[in-house]
Amino acid sequence: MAFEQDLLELLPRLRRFARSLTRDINDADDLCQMALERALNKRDQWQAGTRLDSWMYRITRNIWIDTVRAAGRHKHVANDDSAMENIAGDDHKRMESRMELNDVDRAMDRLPMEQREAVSLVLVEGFAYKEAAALLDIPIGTLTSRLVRGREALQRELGEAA
Amino acid sequence: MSFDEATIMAYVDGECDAVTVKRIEKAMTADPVLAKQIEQAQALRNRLSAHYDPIAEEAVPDRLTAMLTAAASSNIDSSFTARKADREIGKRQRRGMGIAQWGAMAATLALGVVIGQFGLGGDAGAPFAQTDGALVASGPLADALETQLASAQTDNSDYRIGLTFRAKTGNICRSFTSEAVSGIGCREGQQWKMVSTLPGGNASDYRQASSSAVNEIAADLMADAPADAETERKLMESGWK
Repeated sequence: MAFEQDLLELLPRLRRFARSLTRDINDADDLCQMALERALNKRDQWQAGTRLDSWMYRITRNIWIDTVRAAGRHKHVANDDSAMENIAGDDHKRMESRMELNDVDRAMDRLPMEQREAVSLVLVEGFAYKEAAALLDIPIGTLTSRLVRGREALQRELGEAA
Repeated sequence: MSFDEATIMAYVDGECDAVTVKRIEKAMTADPVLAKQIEQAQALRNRLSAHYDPIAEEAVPDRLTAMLTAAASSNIDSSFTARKADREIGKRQRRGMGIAQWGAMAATLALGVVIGQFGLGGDAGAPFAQTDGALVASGPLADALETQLASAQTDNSDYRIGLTFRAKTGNICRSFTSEAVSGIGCREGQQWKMVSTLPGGNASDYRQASSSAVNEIAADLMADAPADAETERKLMESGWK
């Protein structure tokens, strides 16, 4: 049962992570839900003693990528009403009509996915470069260059006051 | 001495080695442009934190916590290896988790949750089922709530009944604990509707913490005081009305 309890403790952070990727609270919770489902199904693949948070963030991030890509493929097909469609982040129009986006949400949303996830892991979630790079399966140099570009874009977008 | 953007960023992120930190800090005092760059990078970090950190302070929605409490209760019969692994993690986790956290967590836990979609509904041994979108007791848990008196419990049941009480809503509610899951069920019609569920625990100190969290929730629901043994028996005889 400790596995579930560890996940329970992790949930608040996971929601924050999901939110920084998807910027809509409902989409973020849908993403968390799918991540939890996958984690529970694949619990055998997690090795006790390794970091559950990294494992969970990786699962969440992979589902997010898959969903965005799948939505990208369906973009010019008619409006697909699947529950996860809005995670995609392409559907600006629907988003804007649903809620007033905060400046930070909007600026994050405009970042390319690979910059957004790097910014999110390091600046929001507080992972070390080494941990974030391992989680994303990329070399540290790639991570830091994405971080530099992501930050530049955010700073441009959010202005002097950042 | 000038620093490239990656170095400035690493400084702000706490990723620079001690020597570079000293160099940057010295250079900052003489270089207002550098100082400004660092200030802006820090401000960006702060702004992101200010925006996102409150999300981690919010109560987690029931539909998410319910998945975990449901999963915990469906894993009673996990293999020996899994249980052993659980115990190992349990040892680690128990150190970091006090009753206060359990209480706080319990407050965020499931009310009328959906469980059928997680594949427990059809299992005869599962303690929960879904009826009209509500989580109700089923199988052995339903039996325990229906027929077990707190004043006369044996070790034959996986569930221990705690308090029996009338809720402010007028319904009779009963708290229970088990290795896998604890909670409170309230009698509605012929069913015990779950108003609260949270993970139980293998070890006795878990169970204690979990049961005290359940008691806190029960105290909130209660109209006056919990039933004594005689009242409990009478309530059972009258069909928990």
